[in-house]
Parts: sequence; structure tokens; C-alpha cells
Amino acid sequence: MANPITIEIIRNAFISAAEEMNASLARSAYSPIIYEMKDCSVGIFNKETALLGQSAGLPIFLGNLDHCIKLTTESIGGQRKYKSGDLYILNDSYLTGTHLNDITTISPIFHDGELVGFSATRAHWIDVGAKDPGYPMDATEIYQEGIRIPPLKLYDGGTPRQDVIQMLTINSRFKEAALGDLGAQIAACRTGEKRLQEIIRRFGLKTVNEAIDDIFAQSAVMDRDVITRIPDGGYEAEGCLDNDGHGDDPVNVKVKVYIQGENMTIDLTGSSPQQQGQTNCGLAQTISACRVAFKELVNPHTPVTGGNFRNLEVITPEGTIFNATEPAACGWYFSALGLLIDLVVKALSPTIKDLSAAAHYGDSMVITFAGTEPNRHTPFLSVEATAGGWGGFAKADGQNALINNVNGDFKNMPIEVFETKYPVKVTTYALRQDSGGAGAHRGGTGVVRGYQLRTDRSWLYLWFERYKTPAWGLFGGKDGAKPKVTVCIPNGETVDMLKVNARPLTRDTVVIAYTGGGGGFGHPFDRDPHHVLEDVLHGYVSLEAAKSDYGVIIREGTFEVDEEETLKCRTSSHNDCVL
Amino acid sequence: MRNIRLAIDIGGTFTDLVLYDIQAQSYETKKVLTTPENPAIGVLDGMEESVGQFEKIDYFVHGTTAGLNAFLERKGARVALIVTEGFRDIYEIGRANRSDMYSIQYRKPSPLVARGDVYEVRERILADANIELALEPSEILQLVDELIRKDYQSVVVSLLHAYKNPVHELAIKHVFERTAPQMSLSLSHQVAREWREYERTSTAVINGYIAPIVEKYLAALEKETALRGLNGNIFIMQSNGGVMTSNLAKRHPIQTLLSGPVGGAIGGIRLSKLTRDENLICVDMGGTSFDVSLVVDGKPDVTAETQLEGFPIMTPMVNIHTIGAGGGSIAWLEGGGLRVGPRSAGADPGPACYGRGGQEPTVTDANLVLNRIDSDGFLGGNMKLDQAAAHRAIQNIAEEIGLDVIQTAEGICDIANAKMADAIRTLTVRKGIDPRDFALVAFGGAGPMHAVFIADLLDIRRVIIPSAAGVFSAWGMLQTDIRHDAVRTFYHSVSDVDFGQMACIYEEMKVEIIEILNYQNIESDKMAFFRTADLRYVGQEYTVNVPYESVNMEESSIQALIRRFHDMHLNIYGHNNPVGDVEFVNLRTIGYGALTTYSSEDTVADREYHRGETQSSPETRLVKSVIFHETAVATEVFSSGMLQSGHMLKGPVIIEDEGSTTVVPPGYSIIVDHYGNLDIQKEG
Repeated sequence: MANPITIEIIRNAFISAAEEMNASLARSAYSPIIYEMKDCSVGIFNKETALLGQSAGLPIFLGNLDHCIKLTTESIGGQRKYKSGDLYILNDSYLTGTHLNDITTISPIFHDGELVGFSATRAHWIDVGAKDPGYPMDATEIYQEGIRIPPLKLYDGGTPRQDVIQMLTINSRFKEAALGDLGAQIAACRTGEKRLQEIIRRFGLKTVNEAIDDIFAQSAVMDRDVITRIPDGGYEAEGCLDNDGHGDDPVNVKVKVYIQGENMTIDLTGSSPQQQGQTNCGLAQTISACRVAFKELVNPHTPVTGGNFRNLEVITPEGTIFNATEPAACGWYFSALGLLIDLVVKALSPTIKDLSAAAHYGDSMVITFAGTEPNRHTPFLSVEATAGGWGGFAKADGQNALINNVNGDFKNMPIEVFETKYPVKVTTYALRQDSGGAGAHRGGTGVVRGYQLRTDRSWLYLWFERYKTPAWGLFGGKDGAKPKVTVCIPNGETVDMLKVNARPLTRDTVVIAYTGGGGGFGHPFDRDPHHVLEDVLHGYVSLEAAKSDYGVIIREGTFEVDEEETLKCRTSSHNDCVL
Repeated sequence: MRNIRLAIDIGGTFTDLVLYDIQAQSYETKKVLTTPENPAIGVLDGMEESVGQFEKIDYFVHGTTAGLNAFLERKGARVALIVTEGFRDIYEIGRANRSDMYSIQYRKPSPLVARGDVYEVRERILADANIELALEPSEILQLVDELIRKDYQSVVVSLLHAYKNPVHELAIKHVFERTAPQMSLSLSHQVAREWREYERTSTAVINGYIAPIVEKYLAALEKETALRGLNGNIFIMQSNGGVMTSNLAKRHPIQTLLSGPVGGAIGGIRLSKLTRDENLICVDMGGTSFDVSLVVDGKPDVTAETQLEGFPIMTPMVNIHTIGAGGGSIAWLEGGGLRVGPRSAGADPGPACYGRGGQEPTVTDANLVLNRIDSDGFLGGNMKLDQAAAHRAIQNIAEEIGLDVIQTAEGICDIANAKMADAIRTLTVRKGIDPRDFALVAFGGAGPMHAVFIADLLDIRRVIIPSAAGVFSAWGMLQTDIRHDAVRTFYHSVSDVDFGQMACIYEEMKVEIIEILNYQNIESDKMAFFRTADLRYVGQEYTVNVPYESVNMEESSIQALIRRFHDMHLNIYGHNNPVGDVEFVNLRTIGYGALTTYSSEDTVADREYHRGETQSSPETRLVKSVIFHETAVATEVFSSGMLQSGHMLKGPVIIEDEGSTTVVPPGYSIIVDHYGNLDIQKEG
């Protein structure tokens, strides 16, 4: 067995090697969605495709590259087909699990002529030749979403296959970007390759392999310790997406979590069959989402290795939204997964109150404007995700205005940049009063963001979710507010809508997006009246809601808590104060 | 006779002084205890003790921590923030991103201004600088009355597109000047004239938050030093690596934020000139943190934007990368594996060997068990260490992992060293540089203890330990000039640039800088200006800051600028696109005001750098048995005071001074240079 000191140095070296891969990818990527939005993921694996170190840009990309390596190995006819310097590429949704824009590269790593591991990257290309630029909102088949790439050899023993590279990049509306981003992914794979080889040279393959066993054992012990503390049993929760972008039928997500000793099983049986719209995903990404849910509850701050998730099993029948088959469209694969992650926490919350949190506002809430710039007559395209409220938890209120959980370090676009680049004026950007679910620990508030169109030719695209399943409260806490988007036409007419594809807008139309708040945690009457007063003074909660939701009577004018009336209101069996 | 140049740097424990005697061309250093409740007392005490007559001071430069401490300890002013109506929450919302990926209990850093202290005014300026809704003066008058009534100490104004058209921010300023001239006022366009409303607001808020504190501290220091006979200005170290007069510092408090920490990086610049090594990795390792800064081609690594405690700051600052590792990093077990850091015992209770109740083993305890430090030599013998406590703490963990105490102690150091080396390597990959082309400079209490081991892991062959590593920052401050940065957002494609407009903007910035240099009594022949532009490919977010070297503003100079951009992009990012569309984002001008000729010409002492010629051998304090690679090796121990220029030593060797202990394993040779710096080279 390797010495514990060496094991720890090797463990840190793996983490650092993955960080370097990520740095190398971000440094040379061409598209901001990779280096700024971090829509990417990298990892180093051993020969058995178990994860040694990873650096995931987005939470949703947790641990899904191992599966792609296995499928690639199978597809080429076994590991003996790999040569040093080879590099493979794939993006097929049913293999990688995500949408076609996410391109995966895999490079086998050799040491002294022997296969010792793999490095892999995944990064979002801005365009892979779908029917609309970027990716559409109303596709009904994967063939409308872009070019499909099965595991394909891109480098043959260190020599690039230029014809294949051309074939792939020619399918993008932005060839330069595609080529630049591919180059960055290759560079990152090579960095991982080099670093693993250096680690093996320094410590010896035998020592490294022994250390890996021990590192995995440490991860497994830590996972099991947490799960063992949860009482055995079956825990359930369910919810739905509003629809799949076609019609108004809900898309159901059903989660059953079984805890047995040190093992957790997440069973998604009963979730909707695969849909005509784009709310489907491949199995690999569903497993990844279940791992995210697991990770949120089990040591969220510890680096992930191949020893993790050994006690997690995922059951999801084929032909459902979570295990889609040809020709299901997968463009908006993450909406159902975000809900799935939140539902696992909800299902288990009664047993792990301290680790849990009420639900957050739920989805990316994407608003897109396309059109023609009035002065230069050039086309423009703006795609934005919108922030919302997060759920309260045992120790604190939920946060106001954060990006949704699967999107991590995604940033909103500064208004000053937005208004300079696009013929759109932002009319307001503020927190949405009373949108946080009431609770002993209040849910965070959503936001209000308004836009006024300053061009004659433009179209609106919306993908807003969670109207039917707004952020739920826990332990007596109330739900957060639902999302809403209002389109105010200059003739005075207003229309509310949540999803729309290419709706034409006239000049001076105002679009106002209201995102949902987070759920409350604990009964609102258990909130300290002085905290409620503070919320009122800061404007997070209105005077009326202080009374109706929290049972706190605040004297108008002096802004003092009327202790006597508050007590009366909170203890009254009829809750008369509730309006 | 004014013949003393003096630098004073305030640290957590000590206030460091470095004096340069202009006639004798010699340096002298001094340490006095820091007086945290009022740091000016320590400064004045130190000046009394070391200089005596304040009249003798020709030049006085100071690194203040007043602003930084107020910010870090959340003891700043009560600030009111004025914003454009409809945009009350720009500051609280920020960019809505989070760094912590898997926590469903994530919390943002809590804002420096509460929502209830944000006030909206009816006005709107558009992206093209046009006024859509004009400010109503009577509304501002009312608001000013309200803010005075509510007793705010500081007011920050940050209106949309003020970087482009500041007229409304200025109008609000005029109202304050008439009705409340004593109010500390920060206008976003004056603090950071760049687009991106959240970042600019955050910068202005920090400015307003620390302004009254910095002003009070500097005013007191000015008054007290003048009373004692100081003639002339006090110069304050700035975050951007230059200095400014304290009068100006009161107007630009945000520039003092890294006034203290930046000294070390600036010392690196001077050292790079003396040692003829233009590329340095400077590491400052103390009890809880490990700060890395870079000197590339003899220049400081200055960034236009940085983050502190989760808040963006959009003013030029020397880049300091902080990693959570230090002498106080705790060794602990997780899942049966040994971990070191990032948890730290800090200064209180501190490592087990400090004897203040710390039970957990730390890196410092490990160094003590290995005999690399000892009770008689640590901090010049001023701090007694409890050997038995360190041994006990490490033994507890050693038993759990099945190693002996010595193996565990060395293992703790090895893990800490490997983590620091990993962090430096990742940083260099991100910057597109190779650590093997650099020398490592180490200072801070724990830096010299670990430097050679870290360098070895990075294949770095040369390590420099500055003499009296503790006063290194103060020494660096003596060598800098006045600097002022100006910026204007200039969002244009390179293909449709109006040269006249561009020339106007550069001229406007130059006028701004000249005014500021004049204010600091710099004559025009001592001024120098450098123009740069932030460029990027259309569609990119990040920009590359490219020097604009041509004097004229014409087609050919723009073409040269673009070629330079393509080259730099290739260098930094590993690829470029010579046919891609390029756009301007910002224009910048850096102005320098030369203070004396000392900073540009070598002094006699500097010229003597490589000429130490002592024939003597230094006297050892003792020879002790120290563990290297699990083996006890007889190791000579020296006090730095006994070393002279030209002394040559061979590892294994330990050199102690009152601020730090340098540990050199076998396989390295050391030359003591003219300043007492240790120049350590790998043999073979």
C-alpha cells in the first residue's frame, strides 16, 4: 500500500491537473460561453475510466464524461484499438446525455506504451447547424437540432484528420469559433495527458495505482458515512414542467428515493414518456443530475473522484424524458433535470432538515431577442438567463436574485453593455417585492427586468418554466411566487406568456419578466417580528404581506411592530389577520 | 539637512521602517510594534526612534492599511447610495452568479450598503450619452436634506451610463457642494470611468465606505508629522504600484486599498533590476495565507479589475493571488486520508507549539518537530515554542495514519509544499508562462522556510530570500514613482474609428493626469505618459491591454496597434485570428511623475550588488540535527546578522532572522549579496 503522504500528494496533483486542463481550455477557447459562462467540463480518468480529478464549469456537468469514454471504447471495439496520440469526438445526445451543442473530446493516455488512462473535455459550441441559430425552442426531432456526431476519430496517433475536422466545422454557422473552441478542447486534453504522464513518471505506475485505490476508498467512506445517517425507507416527491413547448400538457417528474443502509437509489419510474418537444435527455445526463442532487446533500465542498457515487443507483426506464431514444429532441434537456434535482432534496428533507433547503425558482428563464439593428441594418441576437430567488434553509434566509442551480457561475449581462450592443432599452432591474416564499427563514426574492424594443424588426423567444410547480416551501414555509412575463404592446394591449418562439414585436413594445422567488423554510409565524420589520423597511416584504403572510402588525407611519396585535394575530386559532 | 528617505509599512504585528541616508548611500531598517487601535501612534513612535528630527526627512512614503482593515473588518462608514430610478437593486443583485457550485445553502457576501440605504432619482441617460429624462434639481435638494437628516457619513452616486455622460452625477455633486460641502461624496464616473454598472457601483461603494476612515487617518498623520517638523508631503503607496501624495489619497481612497500588501510585489520589481532576473514569482507566506504575485519582464503584473472578498473592484491594482495555505494550516483526517489546510489555526490559538491552547497539528508544528525551526531562533528568539506540544499534536495524527512522528511531520510539510507548487503551476498555465523561466522570491514569516522545496517541485533553480524579509515591502516602497491611471470606455470597431475623437479622448485623459500630477508638485519635465487600449475580437468578453506606442493618431498607427493585439493574443491565449474583426473597449493612459533620480539610476550600493568580497567565514550559532528526506543531517545554523556580503554557504543550512527562518536542504549553494539578500542556486 502507498504511504498516506504520497497518497495525499497524488490526490492533490490529480485535482490540480484537472484545474490546469480547465485553465488551458479557458485560456484558448474562442467563445465567451466557454471561458466566461463556464459552459464546459474537464476530467482525467484511469484505465478503468474512473474519475481521478475533474473541474466542472457547470454543476450539471458533474461526472458524466466517464460514461462517454466507455461508450467510445465499446463503439471502436475495445481498449486495444486505442493508440497514443489518438483523440475522439462525440456529441450524440443519446450517448452524451445533453444537447448537440455540447461537444465531448476524449484522449487515451499512454505511459511506456501501455494505456494508463484518459483525459476528456466537454464544451458548448455556439452553433452546430441546427434549424435556427444557436439552438431552437420548438424542435420536434433531434435532426432539427444540429449535426449528430457518434464517437469519431479526430486524431489518428497524433495526426489530425483534417477532412473530418472540416466536415464538423463546416456544419456550424460560426466556423471560426467552432475551430477555435475545438483547438482549445484538444489543448486541454493534451494538458491532461501530459500531467498524468508526469505524475506517473514521478511516483511510478504501481504507486499511483495504489494511491488511486486509497483515494477512491476515502471518497466512498465519506459518501457512505452521510447516507448511513439517513433512516432507511422510501421517500417520494413529484412535480411537473409546465409543458414541453408544444401545447399545455404538464411534463411529470416523479422521484422515489430509497435509502437502504449505506446505499441510495433514485428511481424515476413514473416520470413522463419522452416528449415531442425538447425537454428530453439521454441517460448519461440523468445520472449526472442525480449525482448533483446527491452532491448537494453529501459533502458539497469536497472534490469528486471515481470513488464517489458508488452507493448511488439510478433507475430510469427507456423511452422516458430521462432516457430518451431516437428521434427525441433534447435542446432543453436541463429543465426537467433541474426539477429532478430539487425534488430529490424535497423527498429527503424530512430526514435531513439541516442539510436541506426549500426549492429555488427553478429554471434558467431564458429570454431571447433577435432582429435587425435600426441604424446599421445588421442582425442581432441576445440570449439571456434570468436570476431568481433561492430557498430558505435551517440557518438563514434564501438568497435574492441568484442564477439557477444547474448554471453555477453564469453571469447576467450588464445593462450598460446590453444597451450599447442591442437596440433594446432596459426599463428596470430590481428585486420583486413579496416574491420570496414566507417562512421562518424567508425564500429569496425573484427579479423584475424590463425591456423596451427600439427597432422595427424584432422577435421574442421565451423559455420560462415552473408556473405549475413554483418553488415550494418546507416545514411550514410557503411557496415562492410564480414567474410571469408581460408583453405590453404600444396600443395599450398587454399579453402574458411564458414560452414563445419567434413572436414578432413592434417598436416600443415593453417586455417585463418577473422571476419566481425561493420557498420559505419553517412556519412564517416563527419568524422574529423584528426580522419581518426589517424586511419591510428594506422593501423585500410589503406591509400587507407582513400582516397576511407573517401575522406581524406594523404601525404605519412609525414603522414599529405592534407586539400586542402581532401576538394576538399569531395565536388566534382562526388566524383572523390573514386577509 | 534633509537627507533621509523613509518608508513605513504597517503589518499585523510590526510596523516596518526602512531609512535611506542620501549622503552615506546606506540603508537602515527598524521594526516597532503596530498599534492597532490607532496605527499612527506606531508610525510616529517609529519615526521618533529612527529619525529623531523630522526636519531631516527629505521624502516619506507610507503603506497604510486603514482602508483595507475598515473594509475587511466591516468597520467602514454608513453609506447612502444614489441610483437611477428603476434600478435600485443593481448593487444587491450583482451579476447573479455564484462560485460555490453544489451548495444549496450558498450565501452571497453581504453588501456594504443595505437595500434601505439605496435611493432612486428620476433621471435617465442612454447608451449613446443622450439625456432621455433630465434630472430635476428640486428633487435632489430634497434628497440631500433627507440624507443629512438621516446622518449618513458618506454618499455614493452611481447612475446608468455615467461613464459616458457624467452630467447628472456632476449636477448632484454641485447640489452637495452648495448645501452639504462637508459630506464625503463618491461619484462612480470619477472612481472608475468604465462601463458595467455593477462593477462600477461596487467600486464606488467601497470608495465611499472607506473614504471617511482613510481621510481621518491621513489627516491625523499629516497634522502630527507636521507638528514634529516634517516638511513637504507624505506619499502614500497605491494599489497600482505607484505612489501619490496623501492629499490626493484623501480624494481617491480606493487607490489605498492594497497600499500595504502591494509593497512586497513592488519590492520584487526593484529586486528584479538588482538581480538581473526579469521574471520573478514572489511568494508571501504568513500564518494563514499564501500570496503570489508576478514580475514579468521586470514589470509588475497590474490588472484593471479584481475581486476582493467577493466584490469587484474596477481600478488598476497589482495582481495578488491568495491561496489558503500558511504556517497555521491544520493537518487533519478526512475519509481516512491526511489533509493539510485550507483550515488554519490562525494567530489565535495558533499552532500547538505557540502554547495558546491550539491542539491540532499545523505546518509550523511540523517544522518544529523536524528541527527546521527551534525555540531559540524563531523570530530572533523572541517567541518561545513548545516542542512537546507540537510533538503531541503530530503524534495524535501519526498514530491514526500508521506512520511515525518524524515521517508524519515531514509528510505535512511535503503536502503543503506540493499544494503550493500545484497552485503556482495552475496560475502560470492560466497566464501562459512557464515557471522554469522564473526565479522564486520568498518573504513573509513562513515563506523562506518552504521556498526552496516549492521551487524544486516547479523545476525553478534560483531562489532569492530578500534580506530582512519582513521589511521587504517597505524597502520596495522607497523605489517607486507617482502614478495615476485614467480610463474611458470607447466601444468602437477598429474599422470605423474617428481618429479625431480618439485623439481628443487621449488628450482629455492627459489633461486629467497633468492636473493630478501638478497637484502633487510634479514639474512637466518629470512627467511621462503611456497610452494603451483594451482591444478584443468581436464577440469576446475579455480584452487585451495593448500599448499604443505611436505618437500620432492615424491609420498606420491603428494598424500597428492591431498587429500588436494579434501578437499579444497569441502569446496570452495560445491562438489568434489575424483576419478576425477587432474592437476597442477602453482607452487608458498611465501617467508617471518622477520623484527623484534614485529610482531610475543605480545607487553606489546597487552597483556594488555583485561585488561582495568578504574573505571571512560567518560564525555559526549552532550545529543541529535537522530532518531532510527522513534522515537526520548535521546542519549549520546562522543568524542573518552575522552574514556579510560575499559570504558563501552550502545546504543543508538554516539562516534565522527576527522575521523569518530560511531553510535550505542539501544540494543548494547560497551567496549573500550586498543587501544581505540570500541568493540560493540549485547545484549541478
